[in-house]
Amino acid sequence: MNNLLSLFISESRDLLQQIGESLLTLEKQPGDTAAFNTLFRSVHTLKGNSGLLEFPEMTRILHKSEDLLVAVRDGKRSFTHNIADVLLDAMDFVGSLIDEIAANEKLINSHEKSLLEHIKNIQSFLPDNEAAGGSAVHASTQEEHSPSLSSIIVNIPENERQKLFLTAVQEGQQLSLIIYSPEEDCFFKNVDPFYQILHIPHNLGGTIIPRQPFPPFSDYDCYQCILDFYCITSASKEELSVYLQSIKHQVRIESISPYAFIVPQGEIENSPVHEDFCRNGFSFLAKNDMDSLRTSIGNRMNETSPSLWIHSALRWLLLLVDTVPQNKEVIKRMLEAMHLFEQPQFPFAEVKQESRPVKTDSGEINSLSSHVRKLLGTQVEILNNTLKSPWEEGRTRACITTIRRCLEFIKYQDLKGFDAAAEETLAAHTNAALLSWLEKRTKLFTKAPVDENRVSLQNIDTTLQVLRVDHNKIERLMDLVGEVVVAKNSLPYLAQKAALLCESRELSNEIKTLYNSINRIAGKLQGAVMQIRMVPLKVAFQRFPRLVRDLSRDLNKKIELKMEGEEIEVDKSVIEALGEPLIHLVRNSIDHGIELPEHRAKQKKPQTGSINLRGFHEGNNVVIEIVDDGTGIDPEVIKQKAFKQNIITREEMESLNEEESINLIFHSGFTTNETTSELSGRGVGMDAVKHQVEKIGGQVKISSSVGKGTCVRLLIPISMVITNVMIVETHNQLFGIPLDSMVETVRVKAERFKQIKNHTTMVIRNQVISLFYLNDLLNIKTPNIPNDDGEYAVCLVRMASGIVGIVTDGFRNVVDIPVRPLEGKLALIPGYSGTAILGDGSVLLVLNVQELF
Amino acid sequence: MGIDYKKNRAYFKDTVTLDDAEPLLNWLQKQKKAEISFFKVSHIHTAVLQVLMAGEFVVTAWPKDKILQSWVKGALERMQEQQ
Repeated sequence: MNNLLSLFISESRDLLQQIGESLLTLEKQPGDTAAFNTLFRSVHTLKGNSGLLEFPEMTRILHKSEDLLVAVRDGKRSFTHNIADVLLDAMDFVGSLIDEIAANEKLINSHEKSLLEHIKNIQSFLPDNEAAGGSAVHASTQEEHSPSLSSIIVNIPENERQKLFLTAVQEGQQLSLIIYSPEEDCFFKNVDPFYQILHIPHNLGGTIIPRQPFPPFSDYDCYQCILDFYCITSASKEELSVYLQSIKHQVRIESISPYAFIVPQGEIENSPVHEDFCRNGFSFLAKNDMDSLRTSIGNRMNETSPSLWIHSALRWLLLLVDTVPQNKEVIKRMLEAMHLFEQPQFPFAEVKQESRPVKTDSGEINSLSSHVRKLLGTQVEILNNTLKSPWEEGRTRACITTIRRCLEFIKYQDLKGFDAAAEETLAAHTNAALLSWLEKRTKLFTKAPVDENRVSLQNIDTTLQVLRVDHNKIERLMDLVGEVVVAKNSLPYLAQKAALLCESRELSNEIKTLYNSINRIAGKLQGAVMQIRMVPLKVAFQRFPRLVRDLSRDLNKKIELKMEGEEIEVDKSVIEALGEPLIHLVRNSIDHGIELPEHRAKQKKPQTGSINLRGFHEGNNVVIEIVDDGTGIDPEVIKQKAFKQNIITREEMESLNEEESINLIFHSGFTTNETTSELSGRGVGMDAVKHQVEKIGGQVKISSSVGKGTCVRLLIPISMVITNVMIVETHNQLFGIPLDSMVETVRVKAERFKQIKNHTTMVIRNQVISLFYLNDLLNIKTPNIPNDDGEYAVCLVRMASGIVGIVTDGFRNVVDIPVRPLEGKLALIPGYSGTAILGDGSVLLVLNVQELF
Repeated sequence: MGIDYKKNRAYFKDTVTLDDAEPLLNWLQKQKKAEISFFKVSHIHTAVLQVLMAGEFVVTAWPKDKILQSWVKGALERMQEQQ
């Protein structure tokens, strides 16, 4: 996989995580602006990245998601649970696409059906005909009191309208009709709607109409507002959004075509030559003879009074012929309307670029259609957003290509100038030259609020100096550190050899001095590399807010999740190993622990149950607790179930204490559920949890109180990489026992061994300890032997069931060594956690005492 | 106050506010042939404009300000057409 794709996958997963967290935050606090900005920025960035890497399905779903976020941002939709659901589902879909790309380096399956379904789901929340970045565009409704557009337009003087028409057509200017229906009691709220309308940016004119007939003047209430205001403006949607923010719920905005300005006015008066004029006009148009048409219009205008309707229509027709001679359809419609003395009807269409740009001496690009403007604006936005990533040059090249194509489309003359700026940009590895060239020639440098937030995020990233490193490189570095540790451990042996074989004490001492120095450095190096591998518990915890939210809703339970100690760091291999056990434990709390709200209410508990995930240090270990305030575990019920499932005998059922009863849930196959649910109940979960935790050298304990709740406690080592190991000898072989599981070592004379029911035991500090011979555990046929003083070397180790003693032939030293897990078929052999290389080059088998018994 | 009343003629000047709405209504209700000059007015509150649109009178002068003239004239002439 190439670096670019690898980086894209890694960044996308981070962005999806941010999106998920932001959605959950907004679901609880819809007004959280910071969370919304993070969400918007993350979706926008992910959309851009997917577009660059050419994953169109991903881009489409993200684009639609962005549309919905825009609607929420603009106040057209409130952020609800349903919107959170639909966006979370969409992001899960994006996540599945990322997984497929990670596995195959591309998308290999068709996702069209799923994509369309997700898009449809999002679309259902959008205002009608919503487009990204735009205001709502509603189809005009012909209510009884609504004026026609032309009746509003005519309030703008004709010469003004003609100027506006020219500007709108040539520059692709957007025009909008604002319909403002103030509240009836707005005067009491100190609102003056007429003032607001007059001060709308780029106000072109409008009219005021009562929305209901005025009552009789004698009964008239002058403090009740019954007026509607209609205003035409050329302000941008962004300007209008800001200006109308305070009255957004009382305002409708409709896009209108500049052709709506064409409203001839005046007295209608027919003429004998009118028919001839119209016939000739159609003929000249059909032959594309614009000069003759122009002449005919001029002649007709000379024959009519300027105050007549026909003269006004001729003025408009001449304007159309001069401005848009290529648009035959529009000119034809105008002629047809003139023929019948009717108001011309033009199609409601997007404004298209009708003329070529006018190049000035300064090379300004001062005529852009809305499409080209939008496209160029996006490229400027991308170029302004420097990411300092390996694929930035590729992105800049893509922008340059797009901009050049736009310039070619609008037939811009000075392409050489643009090419020079582009070359300078690529050579200097900075976008300044290109941005400067664009700034001088266009007006494309208004930044949306999200850009400011993106800039501030970049500043924060720079300050944190975070470096993204492939984990394989860290593993390789770790291996090398391990080899250094092993290599330096051979120096004491070398020192011994020097003293004995070479009879050189001086050489031996020098080697020992060197060993001390290297040992110190290796220790620091080891510590530094281990620190790199440390990741905060947050990485393991971050999936749970979403998990708890989704599962609690599925089960109709109300659950609040609290997390503490997320900042505590553990080795990444511990985090990876803890993932599944934690999920299972949290699912158990939700499924078996927390009761339904109505049940909790009957027990006088808050209807919302709580699950606490806590992490904290305890010595060299980390403790993770999962605590819920649910129904708790009833030891009697556990015992009964275990008996029925033949896990324990009747005698055991009667003799087990509360703690032992509760620990029966760790037994393979044990379940208290009558039926299995999607979540749990198959009886394999807790057993697997215990096994997984113990495999990484940890322990699981449960404590519970009926009716009050349950606490599951995981005690795990901070690091699994370098292990303190005690070397023991048995049958002339050396084995390692991890110190984490060791309580103490004792030398015990054989007389202290007692047999209880054919089992060897001893008493130490008034505690009966079961003893096991290591040779028996390792299936070595010879018995363990005591030392010359008749003492057996016994290691007391901690097991889940208590402390046991392992009888060996002797103790050696304690070493810190990197233990490598067994691989392949050897990994299936129980009782061994891995191997290590000793200083003399020999291989040490390290025991997993939990699996020996 | 933004309105000066002299016999059957009212002169609008500067800014005519919400407080002017009710006095104007009362005055128009009493007049048989009211006349109003808008020449010197710079702004008319919506409540006052609404009274004007509901009432009957003769305009002796439109606002000097072209934009305001366009809006006020358009609104009042539309009402006259409907009546």
